[in-house]
Amino acid sequence: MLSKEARKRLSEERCAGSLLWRSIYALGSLDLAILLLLSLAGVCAIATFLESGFSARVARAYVYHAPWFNVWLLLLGLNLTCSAATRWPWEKKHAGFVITHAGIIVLLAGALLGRARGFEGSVDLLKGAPPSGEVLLDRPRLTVESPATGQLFSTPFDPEVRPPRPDRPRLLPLPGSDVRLLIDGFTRRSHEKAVLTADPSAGQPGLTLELTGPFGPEPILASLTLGSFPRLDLGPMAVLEFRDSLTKEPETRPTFRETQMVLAQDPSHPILHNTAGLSSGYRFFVGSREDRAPMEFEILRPDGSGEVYRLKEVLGKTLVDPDGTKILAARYWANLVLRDGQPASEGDHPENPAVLVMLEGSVADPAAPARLVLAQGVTPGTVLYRGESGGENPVTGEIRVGEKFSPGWRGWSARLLAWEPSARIEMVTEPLPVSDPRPGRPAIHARLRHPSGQEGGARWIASGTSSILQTEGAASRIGFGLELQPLPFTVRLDSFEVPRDPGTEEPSNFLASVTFAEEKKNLEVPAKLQMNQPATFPPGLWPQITGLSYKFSQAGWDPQNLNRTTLQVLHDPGWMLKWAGSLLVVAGIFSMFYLRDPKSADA
Amino acid sequence: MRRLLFLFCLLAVGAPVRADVTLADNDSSYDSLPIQHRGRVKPFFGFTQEMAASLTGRTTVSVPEHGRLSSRQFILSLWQHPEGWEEEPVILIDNAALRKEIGLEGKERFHSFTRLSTLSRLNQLAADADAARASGTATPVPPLASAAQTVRMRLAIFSSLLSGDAFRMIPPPVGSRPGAAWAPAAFQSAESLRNLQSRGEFSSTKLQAESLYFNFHPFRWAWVAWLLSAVCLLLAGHAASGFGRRLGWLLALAGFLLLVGGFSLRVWLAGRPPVTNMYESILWVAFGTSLFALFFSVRHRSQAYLLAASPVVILALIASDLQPAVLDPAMNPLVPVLRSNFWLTVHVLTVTLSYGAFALATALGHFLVIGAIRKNAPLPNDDPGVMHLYRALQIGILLLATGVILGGVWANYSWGRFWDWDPKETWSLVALLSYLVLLHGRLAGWFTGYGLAVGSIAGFLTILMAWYGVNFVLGKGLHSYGFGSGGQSYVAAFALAEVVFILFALLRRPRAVSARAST
Repeated sequence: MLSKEARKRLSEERCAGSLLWRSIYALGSLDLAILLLLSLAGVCAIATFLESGFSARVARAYVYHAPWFNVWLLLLGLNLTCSAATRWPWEKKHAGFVITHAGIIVLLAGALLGRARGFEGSVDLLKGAPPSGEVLLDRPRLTVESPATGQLFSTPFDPEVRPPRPDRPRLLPLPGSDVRLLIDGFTRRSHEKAVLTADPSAGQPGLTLELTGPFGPEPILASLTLGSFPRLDLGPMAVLEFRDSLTKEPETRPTFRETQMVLAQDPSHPILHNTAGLSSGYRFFVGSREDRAPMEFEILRPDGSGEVYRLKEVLGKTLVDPDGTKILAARYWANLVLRDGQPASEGDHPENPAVLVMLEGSVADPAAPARLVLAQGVTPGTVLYRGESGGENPVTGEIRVGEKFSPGWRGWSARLLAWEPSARIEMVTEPLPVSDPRPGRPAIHARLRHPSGQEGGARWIASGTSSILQTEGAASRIGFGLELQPLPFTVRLDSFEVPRDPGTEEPSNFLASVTFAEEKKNLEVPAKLQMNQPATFPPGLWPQITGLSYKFSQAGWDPQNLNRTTLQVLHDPGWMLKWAGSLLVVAGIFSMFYLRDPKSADA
Repeated sequence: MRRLLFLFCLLAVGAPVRADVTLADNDSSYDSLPIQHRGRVKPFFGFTQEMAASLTGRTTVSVPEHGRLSSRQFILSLWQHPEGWEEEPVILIDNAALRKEIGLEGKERFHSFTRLSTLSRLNQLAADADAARASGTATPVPPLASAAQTVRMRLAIFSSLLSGDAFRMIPPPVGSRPGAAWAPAAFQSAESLRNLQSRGEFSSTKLQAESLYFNFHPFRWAWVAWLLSAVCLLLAGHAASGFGRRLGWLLALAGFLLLVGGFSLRVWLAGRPPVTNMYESILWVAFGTSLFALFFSVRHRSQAYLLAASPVVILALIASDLQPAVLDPAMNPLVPVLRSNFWLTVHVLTVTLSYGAFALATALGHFLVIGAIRKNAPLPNDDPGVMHLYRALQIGILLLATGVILGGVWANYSWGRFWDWDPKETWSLVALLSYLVLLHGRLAGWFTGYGLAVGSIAGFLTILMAWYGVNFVLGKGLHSYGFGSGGQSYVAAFALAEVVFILFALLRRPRAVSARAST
């Protein structure tokens, strides 16, 4: 065991004799270590505010995944290695120190390996759809076609990191040509909008409506044509339709049969059975105004209207309401008792009067979307409409271009903006206004620029789509979207279930069955996965240990479509190093703090 | 029917004359009846506490002309005599900016259901928040809109109480699908409800234990015990061994046992480890601090640990006791990603335990700094106080490093990736790095015991950021199920006071330190 003085002498000898040792001592110095730790802490702290203020992508691009940050980490690794080297020859008291530092180095190496050779992405699976063999990575790319050769070129392009703006455009060269691509706009949410264009050859009438909703002052424009574009869903809650005529479709409302046992003494709790599972909303009351007065039977409809009848007059007769609901007061018991589980009357004195009412009819489906149906009017240029929402009475009327009307939806107003006797619809990508709550896809605003300064028409290109841009003498197809990573196998969704918490709609788990298939090896492996219990492929210990396997974990679901699930896919060849490094770090710190002779505190 | 008719009248008349409300009896026989609420069957008393806390921010409710009502009497009154309650100012709007924005003048924090329902601006703000949330994570929800959403949620709760819809106390018939919804019950005697419930599937032992848990307040008694312990220890002074010291130690132990008992009960009742919200994490930190303080005080025969720990434990427990609107004590089911997960539990408990150790360290740091300044004497590395501090830091660093790495293990296991620079991860790393700087700086001779003490105070600010700040200030990232709002001003004031204290400590540091460091 070397004494403190001996070590000091040894280090002086080394430094005097060799430049290498001198640099090792410099790089492994404690002061440098503290500076590195301190700067790393500061930079990470700033990065979290970057993430909070902008987005995780920005923080990643400028800090965590930036080259200089990697250099910083490498420098830290070098510092750890060198400081361990300066303690050579190691003694027992150095064990904790060396293990900890080795652990961090192994951990960093694992991280670098994972970054270089691994990936993380997601795959969207739909039950019944063909198997998927590609993973969507969270790395936006731009694909451009060379105007000269037609060859495709792809380059990473993340508009979220430094969003292109009209005053801050980005210019990209198109390979094999002196035309350049100019991108001067970015939106996080865009949608495809139908734009009405007059076209004498189309032969179908079209119209454009302006709808102002409760979401904000910005109106929604909706274009429809009779024939090829007759229907538009405004989210799940409202539908626009353009039809030949306003005549109602055959009744599609759910029908029901309902029985109500109405008790005079507890009218607010009738015993109710309904085949449709939802109540008709009808209420009944039975009773007499005073002792010995005749029994009366009152009907209260869901819309608040109602009548009072003498029970004797209506008992056993079917009453039909204007909307077709049949009401039958089927039986009456003056003093209801239960005998062998069956209702019976004990005497004729009205001690506990009860009436059994049977109802048959159709109810307005509360989940049915609000609807606005439009049709060509008799006079050319006029449009007939009928608006209905929930169970409320429909509104109808006739309008001309420029006129305002109420579609009968709460909080909405509408205006006929345009009418074309012959038109077609063009789909155009556009940013969504902030007030519009619908989800949308990111999009970039791009055009081509000729060296002469002439510019072609600009377009919004949504993520996952491509568009042909033109300028004088040149055209190029430009695609924008997330990078796709091919997998050496395919995956298919066989079933997907979402169990719920008792009495609520909150999901309690997500259960998916998938099948992995590798055609070359003629291999099919079924697997199950659920929240926090991922599935891996290829199966077996060896691919997992080496990190050559792919891990599929539950990541997202679609409440509207329970046949669909999103899985996160991870391929990380460095994971073993990360785990081993972690273990070493913890063991090292522990032995440093608690297994060492406290007298030799300063290593 | 009466309820219905009454609502009709209300709609017809528009602005009814303010009618006085009728109070129900404060009848404890309802306490242990089961009620289905938020996906769980719980005792009625717990339900009333939760409802009162969500509506008014307190578990006792002040009603004009009726004084303070217990949560039980308040909720029973709403159920039995709903007439007139929508005119009573019992719904909390604590955000002054929001009150101003929606047109409520004055400093009154409580308003009536009718008043609030008529404010169109409130609805609009809440709708804005819906739109912002629906449009994806990229658009942050403005704080006012978020606060408006909270108020709208209170209105919805209130209306479900008035309409009776919240009282889901009739179990579905035997043979229904598991997890079917219970039906609302009309107000009736506890006895007849009990008859209706005789066939439901629930554990009455658990229900009784849960109502005991809500009635007994184990955590309240725990801070009382710690307070008494601190008084005893202070009175006992430096007496080497005396009755006072022993009593102080025993009281602290009693407080600790109450904490453990209450915690175990909670874990058993909720059927899950306490790892999900700020309330549970504060309790766990208090547990950690008292555990380490008791352990070290025995191991190293020093009362300093207990004295240092008591303000931390008392403050933490009082905060969790008095702020149910911010620190929600309800035992709600977890989101699926947090369920049945061993690594999750272990990493959260480990990290939070380290917060407990660092809280102990920062308290010791304060005592050391104040002592050194008062005596104007430097703190050498071998000062017993510095040794105490060093031990607390050691255990904290070991636990934090382990916890951060276990978090990576969990992420690797549950999400796939090991490390993702998520704000919570990153801030835990920042905190860990800061404490490593502290240890290495002392090793390098940059400072001695005094610097270590000041540094441990500064280091706790990074812990505060990782613990509270990420969830309540940054509000982004994967740990989103822990996000909340409220208490910002208190935490900010605390952090500011600490920064001032650190600056003061640096300015007034005992001068001899530099002379001492060179030896």
